[in-house]
Amino acid sequence: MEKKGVGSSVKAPHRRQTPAPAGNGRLPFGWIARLTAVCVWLVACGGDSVDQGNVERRQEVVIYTALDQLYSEPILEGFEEKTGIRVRAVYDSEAAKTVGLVNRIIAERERPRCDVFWNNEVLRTLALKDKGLLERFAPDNARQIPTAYKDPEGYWTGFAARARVLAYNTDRLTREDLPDDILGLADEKWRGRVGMAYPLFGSTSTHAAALWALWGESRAHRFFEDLKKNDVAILDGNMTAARAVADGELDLCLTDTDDAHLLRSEGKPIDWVLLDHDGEGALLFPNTLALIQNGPNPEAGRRLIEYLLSPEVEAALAASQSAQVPLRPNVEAPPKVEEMARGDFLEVDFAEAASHIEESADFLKTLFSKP
Amino acid sequence: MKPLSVRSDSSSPGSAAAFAGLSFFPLAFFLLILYPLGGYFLGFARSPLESLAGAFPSREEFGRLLGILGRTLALAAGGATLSLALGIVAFAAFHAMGRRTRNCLWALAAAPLLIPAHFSAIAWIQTAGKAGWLTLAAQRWGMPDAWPPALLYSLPGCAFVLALHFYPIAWVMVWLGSRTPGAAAVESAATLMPPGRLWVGLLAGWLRSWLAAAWLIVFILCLLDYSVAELLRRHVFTVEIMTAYAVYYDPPRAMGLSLPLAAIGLLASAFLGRLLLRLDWPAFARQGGEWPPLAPRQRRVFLALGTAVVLVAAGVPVGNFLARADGWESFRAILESSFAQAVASLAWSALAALATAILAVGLAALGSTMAYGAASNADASSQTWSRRLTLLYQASILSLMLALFALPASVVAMAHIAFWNDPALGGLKQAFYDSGGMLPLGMLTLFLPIAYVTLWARLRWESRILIDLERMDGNRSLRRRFLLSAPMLFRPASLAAVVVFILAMQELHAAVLLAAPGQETLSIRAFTLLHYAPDRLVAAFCLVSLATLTLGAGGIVGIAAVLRFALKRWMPYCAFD
Repeated sequence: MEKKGVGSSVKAPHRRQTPAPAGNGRLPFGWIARLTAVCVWLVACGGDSVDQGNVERRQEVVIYTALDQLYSEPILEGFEEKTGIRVRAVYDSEAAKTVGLVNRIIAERERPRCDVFWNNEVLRTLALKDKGLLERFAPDNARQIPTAYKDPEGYWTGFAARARVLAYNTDRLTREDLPDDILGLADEKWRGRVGMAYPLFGSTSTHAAALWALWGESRAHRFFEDLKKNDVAILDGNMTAARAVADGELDLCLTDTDDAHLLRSEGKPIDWVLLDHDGEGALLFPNTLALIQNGPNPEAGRRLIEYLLSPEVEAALAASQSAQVPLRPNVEAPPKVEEMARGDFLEVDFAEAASHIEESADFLKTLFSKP
Repeated sequence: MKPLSVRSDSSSPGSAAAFAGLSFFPLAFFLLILYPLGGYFLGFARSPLESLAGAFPSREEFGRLLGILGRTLALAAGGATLSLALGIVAFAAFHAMGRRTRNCLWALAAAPLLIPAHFSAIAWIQTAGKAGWLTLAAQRWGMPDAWPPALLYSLPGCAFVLALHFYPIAWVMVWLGSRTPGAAAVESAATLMPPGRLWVGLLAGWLRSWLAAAWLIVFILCLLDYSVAELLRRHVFTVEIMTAYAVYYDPPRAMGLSLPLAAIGLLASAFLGRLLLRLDWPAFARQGGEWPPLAPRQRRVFLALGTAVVLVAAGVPVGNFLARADGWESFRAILESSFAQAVASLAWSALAALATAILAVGLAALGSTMAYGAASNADASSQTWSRRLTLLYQASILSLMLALFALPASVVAMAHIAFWNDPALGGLKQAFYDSGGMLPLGMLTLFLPIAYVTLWARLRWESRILIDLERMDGNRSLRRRFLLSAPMLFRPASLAAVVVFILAMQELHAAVLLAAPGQETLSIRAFTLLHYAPDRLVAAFCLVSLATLTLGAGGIVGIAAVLRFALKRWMPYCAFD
């Protein structure tokens, strides 16, 4: 007798008649398993081994970059074209609250997978140096970089910097209305009109730590307490702050040059001025490059660092929408960037600033997390 | 009902295969997910006091953190309550519509879940922020213009945005619950009381557990989300955990800080698990009792309210993006430039998300089928210990799944890195770490619970008669289990695959940590674009990604339909839903 399952016998009578059986009544597990295996295999092939040793494989280098993909990707493609070395990048995102690449490098410390760390600021690179995760390397292309923007021990090299600026809405304010100095933001006149990013993350935390190093603890405390009393708006990031100004949500904000420049190039009513600190100038902080200790492709990593430190890359970053200031002389840059490069800048000891980052974070999170 | 068959599977010839099937899922679950996560958390457990001391160093700090925790809980509870209210209103409104209108509108009502919460919050800032169109309109009409931003940048405003994002979950839960009372009961009750009173009775009585479960799901989701709160300038507890990682590079401290949030999440999950176990689950194909129509006036009120909810929840983000996209040019720019660059990201992300969806649904199908099969076998067994053991097995797996649901994505990713990249344990793990498999594994850890609970829920309504008839037919247990479950699980499996696919495509925090070098991720590119592209391109991109997700989800539904058709040919005698 033909074996017949009983499920159909209790199904509602209106059930559509199924066509004559084409199979043997068994599930096609083989096909399902094959489909799954193909998907998993395809995904797994997305990141082949980064180990050395396979001489037949095209040479490659692994870079973790905190500079936005928008700006870093074309430059890395340029390196691939020039050298034939395949670049495998991992990008960070501003929205990830930087629990990203630095923590990934730390978590991978027992078996590093990254060759080069391209950070968009300095202090997190210094944290990696402190943890002994970086390798010394003195690139030839770093010779023209001023010593203030290089590690004296050769663990990292700075290039293409951004500045902390005061961005303002040009529909509401003119340059003459602006405070001359960062301290002026605590003036009653600006109550509820100023914004800045949460000062525990990104370049705003670098700025805060630099103020601790520059002014000392009590003065830095007083400054941020005054800002808090003046109802400064704490926003999700520097770009969010700049957008809030460009959209008219706020009149002024502390932000970075690249964020303000990008919105200005879109035709938004925003401009910026370098933010003076007590007559000593504005904060300029470079991108930093570091070779990771025991990375899988150290030689290719060194070549990539040399390439990224070349004048062409600094020129490309200056000409890009991020408007980064070249650190070496005689690099071609658009007029706005050249004008910015002529400004007065603070002489910051980044190592000292890094030593204040936890202290400043302890204070600022207490201050700004209160309702 | 007592089973017709008294033969237990433990004595059946298929018991060895059943045992192998039964143990595969827990083994895979343990090796791939529990062991890596457990190792990371046990590392913390070795010195919990030290971690807690680092997390709560002083009385003042403890007080501050307690305040933030209280605010976070208030936000999550507010979001969940509001979301539940909106879900009930949407359910009532849909009930008041004709079937055809309902069929046309359900996709629109579910649209908020397709838009990442971060994007929705931006749309709301563009609406009710200080320079939002609503504020400017109020200004133009001579009305007080301070209230929209004041409301938006407040805890209730934040809860409102979260509620609008998550309300479809509450709506679906209410709808599922509405199908559980039998037709006879509803019809009898309708003859005894007016429709309004019957509705109140059903909602407040019959559906109480369903509403509580919906509340808990949305509560946990709101507890873990910090993107909306940060954009709306509310400091929430999750950011404190992120600070421990990002500022202090101190995982034990982060774990110490995670403890209160994890404890609350686990408690909520335990309650949720208890509710899910007790709920009377509906069959997807079963027509429950049709609820009686409300009085015309009540219908009109709910129709108006429900339409407002759907329009506000889906219309504000989509309308804002459409208005700001500023015409076809922006779409063309997106398609020609940044989106063209993003094709690789899209392809890899879609593939990773698809692999995650297939793995999640496959594992969940196996796990839930076996767990439920064991329970039904145990029911037929005369041994009390067997029944207790299988109940314990079911409850443990469900609790562990729900516990995973309450973990922040970054912590899950860090745990996986610590385990899979550990050089102490040799080549296989390292090879896996270096492959592109880490991203799907991370997503699987995060989203397997959703697939598991969806499939397990369907199996709750497995007909006892079918089981007993198949048993009498002489099928061995493993074969019988598949004959019964595979057709039954098809629709919920498709639904779970779509949900997992969408969530995996949108996930950012684990993606940054787990994507292999060179492996593109759409979420990172999307968030970069969100920060740096002009408004009109961001708006166009949001719409394009919404369309992509919808197409992807539609694609999965299409594939599922084709597979279902094929399976029906292979298994012509089985009762497909």
